[in-house]
Amino acid sequence: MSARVHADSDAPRDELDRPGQLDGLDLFERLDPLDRLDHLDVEFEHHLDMIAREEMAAGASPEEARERALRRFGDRERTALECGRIMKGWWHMTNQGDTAKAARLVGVTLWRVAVAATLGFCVFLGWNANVRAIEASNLAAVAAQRTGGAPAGTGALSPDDRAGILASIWGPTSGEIEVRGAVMAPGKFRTDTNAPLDLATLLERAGGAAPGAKSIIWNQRGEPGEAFVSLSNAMRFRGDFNSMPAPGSVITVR
Amino acid sequence: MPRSTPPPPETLAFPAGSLETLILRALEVEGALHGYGIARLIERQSGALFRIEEGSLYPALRRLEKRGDVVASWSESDTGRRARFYRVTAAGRRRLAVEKSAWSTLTAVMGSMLGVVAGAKPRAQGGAA
Repeated sequence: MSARVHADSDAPRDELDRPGQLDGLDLFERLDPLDRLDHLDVEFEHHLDMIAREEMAAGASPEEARERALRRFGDRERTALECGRIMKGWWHMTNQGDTAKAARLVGVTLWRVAVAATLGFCVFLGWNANVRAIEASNLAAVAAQRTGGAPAGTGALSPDDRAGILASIWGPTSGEIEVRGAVMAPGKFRTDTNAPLDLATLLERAGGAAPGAKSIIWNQRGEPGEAFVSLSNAMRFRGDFNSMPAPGSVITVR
Repeated sequence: MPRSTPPPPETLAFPAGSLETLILRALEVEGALHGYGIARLIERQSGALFRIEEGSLYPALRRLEKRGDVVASWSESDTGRRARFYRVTAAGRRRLAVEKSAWSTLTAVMGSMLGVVAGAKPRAQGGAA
Protein backbone atom coordinates (compact mmCIF):
# COMPACT_ATOMS: atom_id res chain seq x y z
CA MET A 1 0.00 0.00 0.00
CA SER A 2 1.38 3.39 -0.87
CA ALA A 3 -0.99 6.13 0.06
CA ARG A 4 -0.09 9.67 -0.87
CA VAL A 5 0.87 11.33 2.37
CA HIS A 6 0.69 14.96 3.28
CA ALA A 7 2.20 15.98 6.53
CA ASP A 8 -0.53 18.48 7.06
CA SER A 9 -3.65 19.90 5.59
CA ASP A 10 -3.27 22.62 2.97
CA ALA A 11 -5.90 24.67 4.69
CA PRO A 12 -4.79 27.74 6.62
CA ARG A 13 -3.90 26.64 10.13
CA ASP A 14 -5.99 29.45 11.44
CA GLU A 15 -9.10 28.01 9.91
CA LEU A 16 -8.40 24.57 11.22
CA ASP A 17 -7.48 25.74 14.66
CA ARG A 18 -10.75 27.49 15.15
CA PRO A 19 -13.51 25.06 14.42
CA GLY A 20 -17.01 26.38 14.67
CA GLN A 21 -16.06 29.99 14.02
CA LEU A 22 -18.90 32.22 12.93
CA ASP A 23 -18.56 32.20 9.19
CA GLY A 24 -20.97 34.16 7.03
CA LEU A 25 -21.65 31.46 4.46
CA ASP A 26 -21.66 28.72 7.02
CA LEU A 27 -24.12 30.67 9.14
CA PHE A 28 -26.32 31.12 6.08
CA GLU A 29 -26.24 27.38 5.49
CA ARG A 30 -27.09 26.69 9.09
CA LEU A 31 -30.05 29.01 8.90
CA ASP A 32 -31.41 26.97 6.04
CA PRO A 33 -31.74 23.32 7.09
CA LEU A 34 -33.76 22.46 3.98
CA ASP A 35 -30.91 23.70 1.88
CA ARG A 36 -28.66 21.42 3.86
CA LEU A 37 -30.82 18.44 2.97
CA ASP A 38 -30.42 19.43 -0.67
CA HIS A 39 -26.70 19.52 -0.06
CA LEU A 40 -26.92 15.98 1.26
CA ASP A 41 -28.47 14.88 -2.01
CA VAL A 42 -25.74 16.58 -4.01
CA GLU A 43 -23.14 14.96 -1.81
CA PHE A 44 -24.64 11.49 -2.17
CA GLU A 45 -24.99 11.89 -5.92
CA HIS A 46 -21.34 12.83 -6.16
CA HIS A 47 -20.40 9.72 -4.22
CA LEU A 48 -22.62 7.48 -6.37
CA ASP A 49 -21.23 9.04 -9.52
CA MET A 50 -17.69 8.31 -8.38
CA ILE A 51 -18.51 4.68 -7.61
CA ALA A 52 -20.28 4.34 -10.96
CA ARG A 53 -17.23 5.70 -12.77
CA GLU A 54 -15.11 3.17 -10.94
CA GLU A 55 -17.45 0.35 -11.93
CA MET A 56 -17.57 1.50 -15.54
CA ALA A 57 -13.80 1.61 -15.62
CA ALA A 58 -13.94 -2.02 -14.53
CA GLY A 59 -16.14 -2.82 -17.50
CA ALA A 60 -19.70 -2.37 -16.25
CA SER A 61 -22.33 -0.72 -18.40
CA PRO A 62 -23.70 2.62 -17.14
CA GLU A 63 -26.88 0.94 -15.89
CA GLU A 64 -24.96 -1.83 -14.13
CA ALA A 65 -22.54 0.69 -12.73
CA ARG A 66 -25.35 2.77 -11.28
CA GLU A 67 -26.98 -0.30 -9.80
CA ARG A 68 -23.74 -1.44 -8.19
CA ALA A 69 -23.09 2.06 -6.91
CA LEU A 70 -26.47 2.13 -5.21
CA ARG A 71 -25.79 -1.28 -3.71
CA ARG A 72 -22.37 -0.30 -2.43
CA PHE A 73 -23.66 2.93 -1.03
CA GLY A 74 -26.33 1.20 1.03
CA ASP A 75 -29.70 2.46 2.15
CA ARG A 76 -29.66 6.01 0.91
CA GLU A 77 -32.93 7.01 2.48
CA ARG A 78 -31.98 5.70 5.90
CA THR A 79 -28.60 7.43 5.65
CA ALA A 80 -30.28 10.70 4.72
CA LEU A 81 -32.69 10.39 7.64
CA GLU A 82 -29.83 9.65 10.01
CA CYS A 83 -27.86 12.62 8.73
CA GLY A 84 -30.95 14.80 8.96
CA ARG A 85 -31.46 13.75 12.57
CA ILE A 86 -27.88 14.64 13.41
CA MET A 87 -28.05 17.89 11.48
CA LYS A 88 -31.27 18.91 13.16
CA GLY A 89 -29.69 18.67 16.57
CA TRP A 90 -26.63 20.39 15.25
CA TRP A 91 -28.69 23.15 13.71
CA HIS A 92 -30.27 23.98 17.04
CA MET A 93 -27.01 23.70 18.88
CA THR A 94 -24.91 25.70 16.46
CA ASN A 95 -27.49 28.39 16.01
CA GLN A 96 -27.65 28.88 19.73
CA GLY A 97 -23.88 29.07 19.68
CA ASP A 98 -23.96 31.47 16.76
CA THR A 99 -26.45 33.73 18.49
CA ALA A 100 -24.15 33.96 21.46
CA LYS A 101 -21.18 34.57 19.18
CA ALA A 102 -23.08 37.20 17.22
CA ALA A 103 -24.06 38.94 20.45
CA ARG A 104 -20.45 38.88 21.60
CA LEU A 105 -19.35 40.19 18.21
CA VAL A 106 -21.79 43.09 18.40
CA GLY A 107 -20.69 43.82 21.96
CA VAL A 108 -17.02 43.78 21.06
CA THR A 109 -17.65 45.98 18.02
CA LEU A 110 -19.59 48.51 20.06
CA TRP A 111 -16.85 48.49 22.69
CA ARG A 112 -14.17 49.11 20.05
CA VAL A 113 -16.17 51.94 18.51
CA ALA A 114 -16.60 53.49 21.96
CA VAL A 115 -12.87 53.23 22.69
CA ALA A 116 -11.98 54.68 19.28
CA ALA A 117 -14.46 57.54 19.74
CA THR A 118 -13.07 58.29 23.20
CA LEU A 119 -9.51 58.28 21.92
CA GLY A 120 -10.52 60.49 19.00
CA PHE A 121 -12.22 62.91 21.36
CA CYS A 122 -9.12 63.01 23.57
CA VAL A 123 -6.96 63.77 20.54
CA PHE A 124 -9.35 66.53 19.56
CA LEU A 125 -9.24 67.96 23.07
CA GLY A 126 -5.47 67.89 23.00
CA TRP A 127 -5.34 69.55 19.60
CA ASN A 128 -7.82 72.15 20.69
CA ALA A 129 -5.88 72.83 23.88
CA ASN A 130 -2.73 73.22 21.80
CA VAL A 131 -4.44 75.73 19.53
CA ARG A 132 -5.75 77.67 22.48
CA ALA A 133 -2.30 77.67 24.07
CA ILE A 134 -0.73 79.05 20.90
CA GLU A 135 -3.46 81.61 20.67
CA ALA A 136 -2.93 82.59 24.30
CA SER A 137 0.81 82.78 23.73
CA ASN A 138 0.33 85.09 20.77
CA LEU A 139 -2.06 87.24 22.70
CA ALA A 140 0.38 87.40 25.58
CA ALA A 141 3.18 88.42 23.24
CA VAL A 142 1.09 91.18 21.72
CA ALA A 143 0.07 92.31 25.14
CA ALA A 144 3.70 92.38 26.25
CA GLN A 145 4.60 94.43 23.20
CA ARG A 146 1.89 96.94 23.93
CA THR A 147 2.70 97.20 27.58
CA GLY A 148 6.33 98.09 27.01
CA GLY A 149 7.95 94.71 26.62
CA ALA A 150 7.20 93.23 29.97
CA PRO A 151 5.25 89.98 29.77
CA ALA A 152 1.84 90.98 30.91
CA GLY A 153 -0.32 88.05 29.97
CA THR A 154 -3.53 88.23 28.11
CA GLY A 155 -5.17 90.03 30.96
CA ALA A 156 -3.49 93.24 29.83
CA LEU A 157 -5.54 93.29 26.64
CA SER A 158 -8.91 94.88 26.43
CA PRO A 159 -11.70 92.68 25.11
CA ASP A 160 -11.66 94.68 21.90
CA ASP A 161 -7.91 94.19 21.50
CA ARG A 162 -8.31 90.53 22.13
CA ALA A 163 -11.12 90.18 19.62
CA GLY A 164 -9.16 92.16 17.06
CA ILE A 165 -6.05 90.05 17.44
CA LEU A 166 -7.99 86.84 17.29
CA ALA A 167 -9.72 88.05 14.19
CA SER A 168 -6.35 88.88 12.70
CA ILE A 169 -5.12 85.39 13.52
CA TRP A 170 -8.09 83.48 12.26
CA GLY A 171 -9.73 85.84 9.85
CA PRO A 172 -8.75 86.96 6.33
CA THR A 173 -5.41 88.67 6.08
CA SER A 174 -5.04 92.32 5.50
CA GLY A 175 -1.90 94.22 4.70
CA GLU A 176 1.28 92.50 3.68
CA ILE A 177 3.82 90.28 5.38
CA GLU A 178 7.28 90.26 4.02
CA VAL A 179 9.19 87.13 4.91
CA ARG A 180 12.77 86.85 3.82
CA GLY A 181 14.18 83.44 3.37
CA ALA A 182 15.07 80.76 0.88
CA VAL A 183 12.94 78.46 -1.17
CA MET A 184 14.52 75.16 -0.20
CA ALA A 185 12.65 73.00 -2.63
CA PRO A 186 9.26 73.02 -4.27
CA GLY A 187 6.92 73.04 -1.36
CA LYS A 188 9.40 74.19 1.25
CA PHE A 189 10.40 77.65 2.27
CA ARG A 190 12.56 78.45 5.20
CA THR A 191 12.94 81.83 6.82
CA ASP A 192 16.37 83.37 7.31
CA THR A 193 16.45 82.47 10.93
CA ASN A 194 14.85 79.10 10.49
CA ALA A 195 12.77 79.98 13.49
CA PRO A 196 9.37 81.50 14.11
CA LEU A 197 9.50 85.17 13.27
CA ASP A 198 9.02 87.64 15.97
CA LEU A 199 5.32 87.99 16.36
CA ALA A 200 5.33 91.69 17.06
CA THR A 201 7.52 92.38 14.02
CA LEU A 202 5.21 90.42 11.84
CA LEU A 203 2.19 92.12 13.20
CA GLU A 204 3.84 95.43 12.63
CA ARG A 205 4.74 94.57 9.04
CA ALA A 206 1.40 93.12 8.25
CA GLY A 207 -0.62 95.73 9.94
CA GLY A 208 -1.70 93.28 12.57
CA ALA A 209 -2.30 90.50 10.15
CA ALA A 210 -0.03 87.53 10.67
CA PRO A 211 1.68 86.37 13.80
CA GLY A 212 4.52 83.88 13.94
CA ALA A 213 5.04 82.84 10.32
CA LYS A 214 7.27 79.79 10.23
CA SER A 215 7.38 78.63 6.69
CA ILE A 216 5.66 78.75 3.38
CA ILE A 217 4.30 75.53 2.10
CA TRP A 218 3.45 75.39 -1.56
CA ASN A 219 0.76 73.22 -2.88
CA GLN A 220 1.61 69.58 -3.27
CA ARG A 221 2.85 69.70 -6.86
CA GLY A 222 4.96 72.79 -6.30
CA GLU A 223 3.06 74.64 -8.97
CA PRO A 224 2.29 78.34 -8.91
CA GLY A 225 -0.99 78.96 -7.31
CA GLU A 226 -2.37 78.61 -3.90
CA ALA A 227 0.10 78.35 -1.07
CA PHE A 228 0.08 78.65 2.63
CA VAL A 229 2.10 80.42 5.20
CA SER A 230 2.24 78.09 8.10
CA LEU A 231 2.11 80.00 11.32
CA SER A 232 1.89 77.06 13.64
CA ASN A 233 0.42 73.62 13.56
CA ALA A 234 -2.99 75.11 13.59
CA MET A 235 -2.69 78.52 11.95
CA ARG A 236 -2.24 79.15 8.30
CA PHE A 237 -2.44 82.16 6.08
CA ARG A 238 -3.45 81.63 2.53
CA GLY A 239 -1.91 83.47 -0.39
CA ASP A 240 -1.98 83.29 -4.15
CA PHE A 241 1.22 83.24 -6.18
CA ASN A 242 1.50 83.67 -9.90
CA SER A 243 4.84 81.95 -10.30
CA MET A 244 7.21 79.81 -8.37
CA PRO A 245 9.73 82.09 -6.68
CA ALA A 246 13.41 81.39 -7.19
CA PRO A 247 15.47 80.39 -4.18
CA GLY A 248 16.19 83.37 -2.06
CA SER A 249 13.15 85.27 -3.27
CA VAL A 250 11.30 87.61 -1.04
CA ILE A 251 7.90 86.18 -0.50
CA THR A 252 5.03 88.47 0.03
CA VAL A 253 1.83 87.17 1.36
CA ARG A 254 -1.25 89.29 1.06
CA MET B 1 -15.13 -27.70 16.86
CA PRO B 2 -12.44 -27.01 14.24
CA ARG B 3 -8.93 -27.80 15.34
CA SER B 4 -7.01 -25.99 12.61
CA THR B 5 -6.55 -22.19 12.51
CA PRO B 6 -9.38 -20.70 10.47
CA PRO B 7 -8.38 -18.71 7.38
CA PRO B 8 -8.27 -14.94 7.77
CA PRO B 9 -11.61 -13.33 6.99
CA GLU B 10 -12.15 -11.57 3.67
CA THR B 11 -13.39 -8.52 5.46
CA LEU B 12 -13.54 -7.41 9.06
CA ALA B 13 -16.38 -5.83 10.95
CA PHE B 14 -15.59 -2.38 12.19
CA PRO B 15 -15.06 -2.21 15.93
CA ALA B 16 -17.70 0.04 17.38
CA GLY B 17 -16.82 3.71 17.14
CA SER B 18 -13.72 3.12 15.07
CA LEU B 19 -15.12 4.49 11.81
CA GLU B 20 -14.89 8.04 13.08
CA THR B 21 -11.32 7.46 14.19
CA LEU B 22 -10.41 6.07 10.78
CA ILE B 23 -12.04 9.04 9.08
CA LEU B 24 -10.02 11.43 11.22
CA ARG B 25 -6.87 9.50 10.38
CA ALA B 26 -7.66 9.55 6.65
CA LEU B 27 -8.19 13.31 6.78
CA GLU B 28 -5.03 13.78 8.81
CA VAL B 29 -3.07 11.91 6.17
CA GLU B 30 -4.68 13.38 3.06
CA GLY B 31 -5.67 16.87 4.13
CA ALA B 32 -9.00 17.42 2.42
CA LEU B 33 -11.19 14.62 1.08
CA HIS B 34 -14.77 14.13 0.00
CA GLY B 35 -16.80 11.17 1.23
CA TYR B 36 -15.87 8.92 -1.66
CA GLY B 37 -12.18 9.74 -1.21
CA ILE B 38 -12.39 8.90 2.48
CA ALA B 39 -14.03 5.55 1.74
CA ARG B 40 -11.36 4.66 -0.81
CA LEU B 41 -8.51 5.70 1.46
CA ILE B 42 -9.82 3.66 4.39
CA GLU B 43 -10.19 0.69 2.09
CA ARG B 44 -6.64 1.08 0.80
CA GLN B 45 -5.14 1.67 4.22
CA SER B 46 -6.79 -1.44 5.60
CA GLY B 47 -5.60 -3.55 2.69
CA ALA B 48 -9.26 -3.94 1.73
CA LEU B 49 -10.00 -5.73 5.00
CA PHE B 50 -12.32 -2.95 6.04
CA ARG B 51 -15.14 -2.64 3.60
CA ILE B 52 -17.79 -0.25 4.64
CA GLU B 53 -21.26 0.39 3.43
CA GLU B 54 -20.24 3.69 2.00
CA GLY B 55 -23.37 5.58 2.94
CA SER B 56 -22.58 4.93 6.58
CA LEU B 57 -19.69 7.36 6.28
CA TYR B 58 -22.01 10.32 6.14
CA PRO B 59 -23.68 10.02 9.54
CA ALA B 60 -20.20 9.55 10.99
CA LEU B 61 -18.98 12.64 9.15
CA ARG B 62 -21.96 14.60 10.41
CA ARG B 63 -21.21 13.54 13.98
CA LEU B 64 -17.59 14.60 13.58
CA GLU B 65 -18.70 17.90 12.13
CA LYS B 66 -21.13 18.40 14.96
CA ARG B 67 -18.35 17.85 17.48
CA GLY B 68 -16.08 20.26 15.65
CA ASP B 69 -13.55 17.57 14.77
CA VAL B 70 -13.91 18.23 11.06
CA VAL B 71 -14.99 21.19 8.97
CA ALA B 72 -16.54 20.92 5.55
CA SER B 73 -16.61 23.17 2.53
CA TRP B 74 -17.97 22.87 -0.96
CA SER B 75 -15.55 22.69 -3.80
CA GLU B 76 -15.20 21.19 -7.24
CA SER B 77 -13.87 17.65 -7.42
CA ASP B 78 -11.60 16.20 -10.08
CA THR B 79 -14.63 15.25 -12.13
CA GLY B 80 -15.90 18.83 -12.18
CA ARG B 81 -18.83 18.09 -9.88
CA ARG B 82 -19.52 19.91 -6.67
CA ALA B 83 -18.40 17.91 -3.69
CA ARG B 84 -18.19 18.51 0.02
CA PHE B 85 -14.60 18.34 1.22
CA TYR B 86 -13.81 17.61 4.82
CA ARG B 87 -10.76 18.67 6.79
CA VAL B 88 -9.69 17.72 10.25
CA THR B 89 -9.59 20.53 12.80
CA ALA B 90 -7.18 21.05 15.66
CA ALA B 91 -9.78 19.55 17.97
CA GLY B 92 -10.03 16.56 15.64
CA ARG B 93 -6.27 16.10 15.70
CA ARG B 94 -6.29 16.14 19.48
CA ARG B 95 -9.11 13.60 19.56
CA LEU B 96 -7.23 11.41 17.09
CA ALA B 97 -4.11 11.52 19.24
CA VAL B 98 -6.14 10.34 22.22
CA GLU B 99 -7.75 7.58 20.15
CA LYS B 100 -4.36 6.43 18.84
CA SER B 101 -3.04 6.15 22.33
CA ALA B 102 -6.12 4.25 23.50
CA TRP B 103 -5.92 1.85 20.53
CA SER B 104 -2.25 1.27 21.12
CA THR B 105 -2.90 0.30 24.72
CA LEU B 106 -5.92 -1.77 23.81
CA THR B 107 -4.17 -3.78 21.09
CA ALA B 108 -1.15 -4.36 23.29
CA VAL B 109 -3.26 -5.60 26.18
CA MET B 110 -5.53 -7.71 23.98
CA GLY B 111 -2.56 -9.14 22.10
CA SER B 112 -0.91 -10.04 25.34
CA MET B 113 -4.05 -11.53 26.84
CA LEU B 114 -4.87 -13.55 23.75
CA GLY B 115 -1.29 -14.67 23.31
CA VAL B 116 -0.97 -13.25 19.79
CA VAL B 117 1.44 -10.71 18.40
CA ALA B 118 -0.09 -7.30 18.45
CA GLY B 119 0.44 -4.80 15.68
CA ALA B 120 0.28 -7.27 12.77
CA LYS B 121 0.28 -5.42 9.50
CA PRO B 122 -2.82 -5.67 7.35
CA ARG B 123 -2.69 -7.91 4.33
CA ALA B 124 -1.00 -6.37 1.35
CA GLN B 125 -3.42 -5.56 -1.42
CA GLY B 126 -2.02 -5.84 -4.90
CA GLY B 127 -2.21 -2.69 -6.99
CA ALA B 128 -3.28 -0.39 -4.18
CA ALA B 129 -2.08 3.12 -4.88
